Amino acid sequence: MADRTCPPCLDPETIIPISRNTTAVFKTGSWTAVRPRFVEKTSPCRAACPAGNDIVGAARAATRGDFDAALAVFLEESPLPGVCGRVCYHPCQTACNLIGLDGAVNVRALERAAADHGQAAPRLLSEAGCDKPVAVVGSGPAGLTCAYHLARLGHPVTLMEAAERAGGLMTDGIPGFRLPLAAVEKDLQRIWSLPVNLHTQRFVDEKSLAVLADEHAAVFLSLGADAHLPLNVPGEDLNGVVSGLAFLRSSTLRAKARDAKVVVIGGGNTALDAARTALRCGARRVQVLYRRTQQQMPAFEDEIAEAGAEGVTIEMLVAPVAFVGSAGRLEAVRLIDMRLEAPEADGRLRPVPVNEAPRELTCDLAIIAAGQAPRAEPFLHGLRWEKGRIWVDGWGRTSQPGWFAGGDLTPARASVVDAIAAGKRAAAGIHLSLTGNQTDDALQAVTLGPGPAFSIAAWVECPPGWQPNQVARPDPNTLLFTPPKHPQQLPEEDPAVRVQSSVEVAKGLDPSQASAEADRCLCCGTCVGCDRCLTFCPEGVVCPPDQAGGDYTVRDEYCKGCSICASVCVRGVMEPGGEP
Amino acid sequence: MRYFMTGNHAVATAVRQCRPQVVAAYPITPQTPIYEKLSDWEAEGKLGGKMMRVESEHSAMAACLSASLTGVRTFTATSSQGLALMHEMLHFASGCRTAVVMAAVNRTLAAPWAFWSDQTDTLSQRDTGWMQIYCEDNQESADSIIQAFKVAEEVHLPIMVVLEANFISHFMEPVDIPTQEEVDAFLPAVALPRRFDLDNPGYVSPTVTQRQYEGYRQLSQEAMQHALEVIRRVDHEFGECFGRSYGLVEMTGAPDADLVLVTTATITSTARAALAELEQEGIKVALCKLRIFRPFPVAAVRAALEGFSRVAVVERNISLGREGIFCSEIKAALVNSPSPPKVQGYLAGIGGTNVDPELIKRVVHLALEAGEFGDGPLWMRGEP
Repeated sequence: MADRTCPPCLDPETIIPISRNTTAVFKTGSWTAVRPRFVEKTSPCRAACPAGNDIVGAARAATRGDFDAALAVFLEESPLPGVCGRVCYHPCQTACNLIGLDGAVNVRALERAAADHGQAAPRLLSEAGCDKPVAVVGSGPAGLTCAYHLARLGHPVTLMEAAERAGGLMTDGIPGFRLPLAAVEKDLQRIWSLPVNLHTQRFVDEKSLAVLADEHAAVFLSLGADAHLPLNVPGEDLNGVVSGLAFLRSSTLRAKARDAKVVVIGGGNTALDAARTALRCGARRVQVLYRRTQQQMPAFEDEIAEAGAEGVTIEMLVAPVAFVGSAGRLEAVRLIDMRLEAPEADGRLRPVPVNEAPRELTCDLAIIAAGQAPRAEPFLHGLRWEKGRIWVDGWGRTSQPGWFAGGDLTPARASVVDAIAAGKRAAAGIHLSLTGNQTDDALQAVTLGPGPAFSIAAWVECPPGWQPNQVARPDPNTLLFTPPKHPQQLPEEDPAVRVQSSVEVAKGLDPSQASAEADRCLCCGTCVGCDRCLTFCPEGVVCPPDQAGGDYTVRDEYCKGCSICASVCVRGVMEPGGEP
Repeated sequence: MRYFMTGNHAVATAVRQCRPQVVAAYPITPQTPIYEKLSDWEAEGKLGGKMMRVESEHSAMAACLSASLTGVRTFTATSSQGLALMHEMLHFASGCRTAVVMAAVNRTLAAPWAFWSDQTDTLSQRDTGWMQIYCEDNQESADSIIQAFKVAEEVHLPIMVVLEANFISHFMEPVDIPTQEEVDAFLPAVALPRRFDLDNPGYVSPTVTQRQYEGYRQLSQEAMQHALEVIRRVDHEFGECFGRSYGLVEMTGAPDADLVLVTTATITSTARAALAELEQEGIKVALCKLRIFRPFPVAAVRAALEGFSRVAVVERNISLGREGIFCSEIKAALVNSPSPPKVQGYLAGIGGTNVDPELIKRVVHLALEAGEFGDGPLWMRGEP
């Protein structure tokens, strides 16, 4: 055959209809009413995170076993991953697209793993620098976060703290069995690598505040809310009635719990922390008394469960009407039963007394943890207050120009991550007011999902293509067909053992467990280059990113708009798109 | 070496000797013994290639044509309903210029249901772009298989080797089976283009423009015309190797005969016997056996039939509403002849009825005695 000339009608290159790219001439793109698009978005977990953490980015690094990179990702948005990795109420996990499938990714455990196993330094957001000194008063999570981001943006920060050490409630409010001091200290050390000048044991008064205001371009107030709110019932002054925060802070008061019958009034984390601390101090019996039911308790669910496992009993729908005793010494708390009625203005069911005679519960120690309020310092009188807190706008601005506030001093939710969020927004607000060349629009563009959380890293760097405002929602049917990867069990210290010591209750994931848990993350909103869009496209018109990276693209002239690429995208990055 | 075997067995043996790499087929009477025999050999490790289990003849052809595009030698076999079900994929096989070889065992098409010989099933696939060889006996069926691989792989067109139900498929005859070395010497190793390339993915049978489509059709037509010469040459080479060749058409009998009988397939053998008897009676009738149907050997047919005054086409098929399909084709081949002979079609053996020498003789007498030939076919109803 080789010696015979091949006529054109036998030439394989011309006779066999085969296309090496697409349907070539058949421009079916004109048929479509939609254009699939590659749009990277915000994951629902990130949109739900008040701190705005890039959870997907951290999970991808942790999956590779690169905990340094994972930590660096967390540090882009928040200075306290070691703290949040332990005590955050993880709203991210309530938003995970894996809920209802194999269960939410344990993001909190991942954040803790990044902080525990990784090493990273905060990154300077150099381009935004403007070198205007700012004073921050109070070094709780709000103040620390504000100082951290301002310092990253180039502003030198003077940080004033009344206590002996920085950290606020993180160091003297949350007990070590939930948040060990070493973990807090590790987070703090990274902050001190920035131009943040910490002054401890410095009480601020009207005079010193005026000096601070003079020497700084702006002041951020984050003094917290550690004023005890009394119940205003008879007998509160008896020996044996103490406030929750005072009990947690004072070793003398804690010693009173030994062999005591303890009651704790309140349903928040401070109440449960006090109850659990009392157990660890050798209390004979610890009862938490709460006027609503468990569903209404402000304390985090996992803490309620842990307390229950340790032997704390929670009595619902009761309220103290008096503390009784003899010779100035507490002997019992007088209780009435409550029932719940239609919600009040704040939306919470209203507890009202059941019309029955009070009963008495004997006790040696009553810890009142029914809430705290900001101290009504005279130097704060000039600012506008609202419902017992200092009024601020969305950027932490108070009623006085140049004065900002956040944390428990303001009406934010009383939690570490919400304080972080307030500090971060105020840092942006302060930076905006000091530079004058940024507008709210620029921040709106990096708001994560519906907000208010935003990405400070994206604000400075504006990554192309990413649509922070959009939240990734992959096709639920596609998720149903995604092979499950079962959650890692988070180990916990045995309740019988842990109540005998101050050992940390929740144990972290080891690196291999953390990588396995991170690998469960769907990476909603972030393309991982899985090629599913390309593989499933029946027309073969989805093109991969070029060598330099970038997006998958759709050849519009051929795309019929079937949107299979979008429906098979596990991350919700490919989307059906709108009109062509 | 000569063996006493059925046509199906002879075909299967020839297929095995051609070393196919992929065989995808689906059982259907009367083809099934080919498939079974190949399966037996595969199970015994004697086939060499792979048998693919498929869910239908449509899939069988899809598998074969795809395999052929990967550059391997492929074979399938079917009949009747199976061939009809394959119809869509037959167009793909030829349109993609594959070299699939098929043994097509003629069988009646339903309805009504029957199992007998009738050529309408393969002739219905006339326009699918497949070459077709109609075989007279078991030996020619086996020989044509070996030739078919060589032809198909040279011209990049699929080919059907057509044998009739029962008369060939299940009847036993002595068959000369060459040695494997002889077949290997005749049939070169497969050298088809490999159209699937993992590093350079392609889209087979893409949508094309009107002009591109027209271009592909013209190239296929040119390949068909080219194939006539390849078929002739390969048959000649086969004769040199094995001592048997068949030609595009086979002409026997006196050039001054009063009538030429045109036959295909097994009716030819019967006609040979009948004409020998008529010759004893002094009636001179020539015989033209049409072997290659697609590409149609117009020149060979015309050269064979020109100069005679009368042509009688006897055939076991019908294009309902017209006549026997070979008859129409013979007429069309002769129409531009300076002095074309008159042509009359006779339908014999439709539905597998027996065509015996007496029936052939009746055709001859009718044709010789007719005043004028008619345009429609004459029904020669046979015995069961």
